Amino acid sequence: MKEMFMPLKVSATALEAQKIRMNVIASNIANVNSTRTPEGGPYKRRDVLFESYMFDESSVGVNIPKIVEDQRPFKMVYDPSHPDANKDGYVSYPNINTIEETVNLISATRAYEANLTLINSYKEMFMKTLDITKA
Amino acid sequence: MADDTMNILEKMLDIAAFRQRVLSSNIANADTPGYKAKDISFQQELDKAIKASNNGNRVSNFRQGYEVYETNTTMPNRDGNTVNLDIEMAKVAENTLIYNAATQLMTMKVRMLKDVIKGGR
Repeated sequence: MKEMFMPLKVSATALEAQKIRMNVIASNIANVNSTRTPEGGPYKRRDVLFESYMFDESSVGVNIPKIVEDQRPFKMVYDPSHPDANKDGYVSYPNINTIEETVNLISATRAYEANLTLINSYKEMFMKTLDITKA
Repeated sequence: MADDTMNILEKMLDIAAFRQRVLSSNIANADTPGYKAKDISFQQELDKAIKASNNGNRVSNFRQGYEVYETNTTMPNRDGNTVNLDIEMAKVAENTLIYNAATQLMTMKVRMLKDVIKGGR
């Protein structure tokens, strides 16, 4: 009985993970021009770390153990009038590429939909099984 | 009461349900670095079960683990992940159809049995 709903659990972990990933992508896109953060300096691009999570040998869910900061260098833009410009007149902008984020967003959406489809198909299978008794 | 057909249908449902678990795991891990896509062979497992039942084991007593193997892919992603979402979704569609077909047939068998019990009334 316990393993009966395993596919639902597995897909649910994936939905959760993709949703966290989407939140992170949304934050990245929102902060594409943020030159100031509470921790000081420009916003650093964040990325999620996916990790498989074993329910048992055939059911492997997914988990996000932590959100990591992208270590790529900041984008330097020459703008001497900007309040955050350094002494040479350059401003550090976040290391975010909107196109890259959009591609990741599409990938996350696809994965989310695929997992949702799976939940629905499993539900349908289960209901069909129950209908055997109604013959 | 349960005849051979029913035993085989039962086995088909069991294998398809198990395969669904493997496939959901693959799709859940479509973005996990290093994850290797896995699968079982429906036909092979069913053949094994039928062979065992011909040797006198009742099918549902024959519950050895299914043979899970890593699927071959044309090209793994850069992070070593071998899940191909399109292929996996196609497999899910196939698996769901098999499962639904088996449940339909099972429903028909049960209905026939009921008709017999009721004497056609």
